[in-house]
Amino acid sequence: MAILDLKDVTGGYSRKPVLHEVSFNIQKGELVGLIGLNGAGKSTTIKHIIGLMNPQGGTIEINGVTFDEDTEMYRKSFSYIPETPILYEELTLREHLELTAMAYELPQDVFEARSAALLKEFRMEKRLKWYPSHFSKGMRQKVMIMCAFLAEPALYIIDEPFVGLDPLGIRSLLAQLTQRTENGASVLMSTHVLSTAEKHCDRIILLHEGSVRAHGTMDDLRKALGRPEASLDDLYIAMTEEADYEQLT
Amino acid sequence: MNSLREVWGNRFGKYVMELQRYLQYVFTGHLAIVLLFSIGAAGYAYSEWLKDVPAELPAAWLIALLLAASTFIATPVTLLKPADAVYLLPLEKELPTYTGRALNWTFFSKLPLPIIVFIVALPMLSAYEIGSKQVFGLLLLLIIAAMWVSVRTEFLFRKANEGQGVWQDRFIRFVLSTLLFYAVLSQQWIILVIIAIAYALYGSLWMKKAAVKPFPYTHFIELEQNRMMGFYRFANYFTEVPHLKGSISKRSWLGLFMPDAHVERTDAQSFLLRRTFIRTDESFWLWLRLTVLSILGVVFIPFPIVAFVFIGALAFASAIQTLQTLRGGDEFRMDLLFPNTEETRPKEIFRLTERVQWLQAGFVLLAGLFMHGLSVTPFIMGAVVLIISEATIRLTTNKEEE
Repeated sequence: MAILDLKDVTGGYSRKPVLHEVSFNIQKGELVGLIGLNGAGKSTTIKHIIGLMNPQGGTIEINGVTFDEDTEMYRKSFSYIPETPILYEELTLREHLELTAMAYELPQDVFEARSAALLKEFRMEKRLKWYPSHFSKGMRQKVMIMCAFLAEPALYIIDEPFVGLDPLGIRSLLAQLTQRTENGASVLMSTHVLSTAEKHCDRIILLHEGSVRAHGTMDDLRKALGRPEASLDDLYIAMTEEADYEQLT
Repeated sequence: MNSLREVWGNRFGKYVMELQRYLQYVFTGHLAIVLLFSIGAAGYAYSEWLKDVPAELPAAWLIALLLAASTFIATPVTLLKPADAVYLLPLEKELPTYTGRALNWTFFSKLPLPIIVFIVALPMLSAYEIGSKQVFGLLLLLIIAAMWVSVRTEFLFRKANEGQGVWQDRFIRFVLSTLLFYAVLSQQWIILVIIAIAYALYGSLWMKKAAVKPFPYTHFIELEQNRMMGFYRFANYFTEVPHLKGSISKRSWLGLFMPDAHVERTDAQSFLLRRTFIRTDESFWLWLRLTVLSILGVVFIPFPIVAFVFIGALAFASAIQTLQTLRGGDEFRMDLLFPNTEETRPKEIFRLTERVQWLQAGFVLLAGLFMHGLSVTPFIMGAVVLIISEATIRLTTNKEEE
């Protein structure tokens, strides 16, 4: 059974859809990259998946459950890291972690152990009593990442995770993603850092103007676009140019 | 691109519209009546006092101090925006076209205060037989000049020091202004000339220092944002201001109400909402103000019926404002994705609002017992707060659910 399964999802902010029959799935233990130009529909796809937007058509299942069938189970099955860190200005770093642990009903000892490991990994142990107003953008992003990883759900949905992170932070994030996929969790990651996506993602979904233009492993994409030696950068540019050419003709 | 003169013109037009938009709520009929009565009462008390002024009062010094106090704070109103740090950067040489207009507006917007102080001071000067028409004319001219120099000097000081140590500059100007106004009132013309020269030299010193420094966009943009936020906070007492960013304070002295969490036993929404209420200045101070006003009403309103109406109205305002603040706006919050959010958050908002209103009722009861002793009145007062609060919370919640 797929952890995340989108079938013919059509949706957007108004009656005119942004997404057109988007279908893809993510299996257990997979890290899948969602790639597309600005405005391709990546964030809209993610908003539909996390339940902030209702699809106009099609279905979205996480762990075999749709949002309407069992909202609590659906929400427990994923954690989300938004592109722009959204923190509670009135909570300290420790309180953010505690809040997440309460919301996902973690036992106290599990919370202590997981938070200690994450704080060490992201070098934030000394900032437990800090409020978000004292954090840099990268630190705010680290808080979001730690909260998401604290819950250990079946699926991680991550929107542009590398923006604002320093090289050590990026390394820690990638190490965490690798470890979690090895343990059976799945990841959907939207990013513009194509070299990293090519290196770390098991599969890539190329989204263009609200439709899935191509998807599969790097080899699948190379075959589909007829460029056996191409990098993801080359494939990405080729795909968008081809799509624009098709539109013109 | 528009010239900087046009940029200032456009921004100023929008700024005036923004001020008008909120000031219409601030100066409603009620506030106008309160102001009218307050000014009338103060004017009457002042005129009575003038009939028999104490002879030993150093009137000239006092008026010089008051006039200096009304001119020395000259925070520039630049209307700069965050994007200016990028887009106006290449136009730094042309920036004086913009800042010159900004300083002219700052000068004219701040001038009324010292002029009012001057007008109010005139009867007192006559009562103490200080000065003459010529002296008053000169004083008025010097007030205008001091305001003009203050606006420009504070701007230049901020430019030269990126806003650091501005109170040093203000203190020096305050001392110079006090001496200047006293010299006029006491008609010590040589001292007046010396102080005026010192004032001019002080201004020219900062002109020279500022000339070689790049324009500190970050400081002036932050200053402008803080100034507007102050205005929005003030306007928020009278009407809802959507773009008001709530400020946060730790308030660790209220740690008793924010106990350490035990993640298995504490409810996430209860944990979050308590901290939101206590640490968000807007919600906390509003509740506290209304509670203190209720207590003052109980203590100072001599007629119990009037006191019941007064504390009932404040309980309604307090309950509804607390509910609204805790509900938050339409912005995305991470707890929207938490399991169980839809069921638990509204319940916790209801419960917390209820509790803070019970607390308010408790304070009102205690104040009532203090004033009226062990009798029925204090308990009715407490009950009024409880009943109005409960009704407000329940009716508002039911309305939302419908």
